[in-house]
Amino acid sequence: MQLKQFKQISVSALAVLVLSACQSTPAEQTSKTNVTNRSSQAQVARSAYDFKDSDIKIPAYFDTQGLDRCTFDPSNENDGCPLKKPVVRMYFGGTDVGGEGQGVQALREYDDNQLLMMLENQFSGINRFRIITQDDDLIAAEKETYLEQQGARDLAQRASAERVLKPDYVVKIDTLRTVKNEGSITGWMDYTLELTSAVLNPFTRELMSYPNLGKVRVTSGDVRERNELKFIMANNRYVSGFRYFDSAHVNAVINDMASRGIDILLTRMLSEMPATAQVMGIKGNQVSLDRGQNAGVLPGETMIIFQYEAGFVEPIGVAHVNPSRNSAIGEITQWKNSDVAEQVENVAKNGIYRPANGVKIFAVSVGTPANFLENRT
Amino acid sequence: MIKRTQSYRLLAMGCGLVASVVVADSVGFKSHGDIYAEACAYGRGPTAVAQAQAQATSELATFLQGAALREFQRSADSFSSVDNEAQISWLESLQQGSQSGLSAQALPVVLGKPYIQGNDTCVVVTLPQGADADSVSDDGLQWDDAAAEVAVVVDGEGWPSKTGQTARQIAEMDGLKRAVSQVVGVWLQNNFTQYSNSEFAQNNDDVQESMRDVLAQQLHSRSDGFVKRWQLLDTQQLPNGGVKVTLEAVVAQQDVAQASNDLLQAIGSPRVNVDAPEPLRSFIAVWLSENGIEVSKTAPLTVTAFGDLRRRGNNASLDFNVQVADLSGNIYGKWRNDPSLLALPDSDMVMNDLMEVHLADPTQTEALQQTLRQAFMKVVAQGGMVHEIKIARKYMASSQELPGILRTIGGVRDVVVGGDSSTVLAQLRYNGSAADLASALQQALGPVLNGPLPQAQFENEFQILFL
Repeated sequence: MQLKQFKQISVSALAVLVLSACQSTPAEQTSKTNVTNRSSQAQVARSAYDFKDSDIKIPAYFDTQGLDRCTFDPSNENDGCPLKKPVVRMYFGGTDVGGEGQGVQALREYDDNQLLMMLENQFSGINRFRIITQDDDLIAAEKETYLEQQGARDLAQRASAERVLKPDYVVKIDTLRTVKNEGSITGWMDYTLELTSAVLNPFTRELMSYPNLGKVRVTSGDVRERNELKFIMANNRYVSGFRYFDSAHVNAVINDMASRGIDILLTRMLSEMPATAQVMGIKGNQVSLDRGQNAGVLPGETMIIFQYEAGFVEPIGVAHVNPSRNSAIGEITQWKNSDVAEQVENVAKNGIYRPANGVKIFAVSVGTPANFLENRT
Repeated sequence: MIKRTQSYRLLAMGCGLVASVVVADSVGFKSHGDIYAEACAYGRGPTAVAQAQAQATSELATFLQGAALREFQRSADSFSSVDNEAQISWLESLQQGSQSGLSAQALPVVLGKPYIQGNDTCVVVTLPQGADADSVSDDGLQWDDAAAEVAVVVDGEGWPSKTGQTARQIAEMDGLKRAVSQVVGVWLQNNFTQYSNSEFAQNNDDVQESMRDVLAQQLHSRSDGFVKRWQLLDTQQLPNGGVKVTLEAVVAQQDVAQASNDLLQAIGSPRVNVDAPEPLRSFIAVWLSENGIEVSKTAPLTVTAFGDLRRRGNNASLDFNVQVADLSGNIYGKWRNDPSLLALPDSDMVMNDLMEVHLADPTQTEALQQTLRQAFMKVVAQGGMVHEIKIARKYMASSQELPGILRTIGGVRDVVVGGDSSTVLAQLRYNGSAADLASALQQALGPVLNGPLPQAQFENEFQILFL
């Protein structure tokens, strides 16, 4: 009897202990991490041929808007059409380099204008925005030649019929350039370039939250061996090595850094604004998409194929996609191991599977195509 | 590039069409007798849809010309729900129509929802059973050039005036004025095309309406001989002692047309002086001459033009203003170019180049023409150019009655009299030449003169001196 009572008391005490322990332990929903100042790296999609079943998941920012509302007229496109792209003008902002010191003057002399042209060219190619160029001199020179060769009437008609696009937003790239040198007799320069981008409405002054490309940091160590930036001083005067005071030499380094920074911005943009298309049919392993280059689908795109019904998504497979102008064709390299995917695969094996009865199938890119950096930058 | 689809059966499965009898790749009968055709065109959007629709309609028309009737008769048994006799008679009438030149566009086809197939956009068009091609008729208002007179029925309203005229008299005058205005309106509408090709590139109804009012007002003030005869049809009393009359008036339409034409010529071909620095002046003068506007240094109207270069970076654009004023400083119209049209590299010739392009732009030159025309019209609407009359006081017995006497001269408005110890200066608007005005003055001024006036001297076209 006593033993039984003891058991009951011990069980009760244990229960109280457990309960009290539960009450006092805080929920761990966050963790501490170090803030890094390492240079940024580019992130690209894995090739569709290298995907495993567990990799086939829906990436962020997928879109399920069809083309029903589109007018297919770029100058008068419906707001609800996924092919409508914001018209933007691009700027470099806040590029002043302050202070005095070794190599600062040469860094200050760096001209952003050519960088801006490069940025415009690279961003226009990914077809996420419609870009109005800032290259005023080129445009004016071309119109002068046009006037000379085609005449005033023709120029007037063309200029009046094709007006400059009105920008919806401004894309601003802020750069922060810094330099430090280390060593005394043998020293070396260490440049850092930080890029941030913002999309803003110039009239309301609202900075848009999307696309959020974060901050890109590039150091001179990313583009040059350290000993290439080495120099020798004697009696506080330059003797030999990297000509840190010569803006042409400094420009060469900064240009490479900026170019790398822009490449990383591009890859982030492609992840932040993935290409989406609707699947019109699947035949065998071949998928037919309703959009191509016009929706920013790039060659060699890795796309996740998913079924969309009643607000839920079911991944079906992963495809290697190549665009044509208005549509795209992809090859499903890996079907997802699921019932839904199996049903679709079975129908597609024996003919053409077409989504019906409220079911829609979409394809969304997982980011920058695997070979993009090799081929386009 | 237009393609025909290869398999209709596939389409029927994919699009869920009703069961159909396929007689060709993309044309055939639906089970209830409608005829459909399907075609695809490369691309997206309205252009591709229109191309596909045109192709489908054309295939449907070709089908109607020959094969349709034959195919239906061959497979008539398949259409259990169709009245065969009615269907055959419908097909025969369509066949006859198409053979006698019925165009494919006239077929009342129904366009299906476009759908995407790869790079193509496809549509199915359907000709509903029993539908027939409609004929379109049109009618419009006609101006009979041969008729010398025209009868119109109009209303007029009037209230008693302080000058002693009765409400009825004023209502009748109002009605007659409206009768002339109505005839002017019809004339303008029917001669609109003629003017739109030359000096009067009117392109909206408002301008035409204001033109009609200006013409009617001027015609009325010049002469009341346009109404040959009229009769009262009805009279109604209005509140506050007003009267509404309904009249049938017979208007001399040839006279109205002639007078309107003269006035329009006066508005459209005035003489102007150009005040602008070179090279602007030459550009404007040449352009005005090319547009039927005579340039003269002694003209009463001045077209003032001034241009500025706006420089931005290495490039320049043109800011160019034109205004029309009379010598008294009244401004009748203003025009400004669109500087954003073009920027060119800054150079010695950039002003000339920019000017040349701006004046070669049809939209801008039309706007400039419009401004000039409206300015000239405004001059006419306000009663003509401001004229100045200077009379030495030695000829005047009294200057107090001068304004009243000047107002009695036909066509004179807005009289202002001033002057100094030696001369009387009268300013007034007159819609005619200075010589006409001078001769009218010689006759009218008698009661206020103490002797005959000397021969009028003309300083220019709007200044008359009796000194």
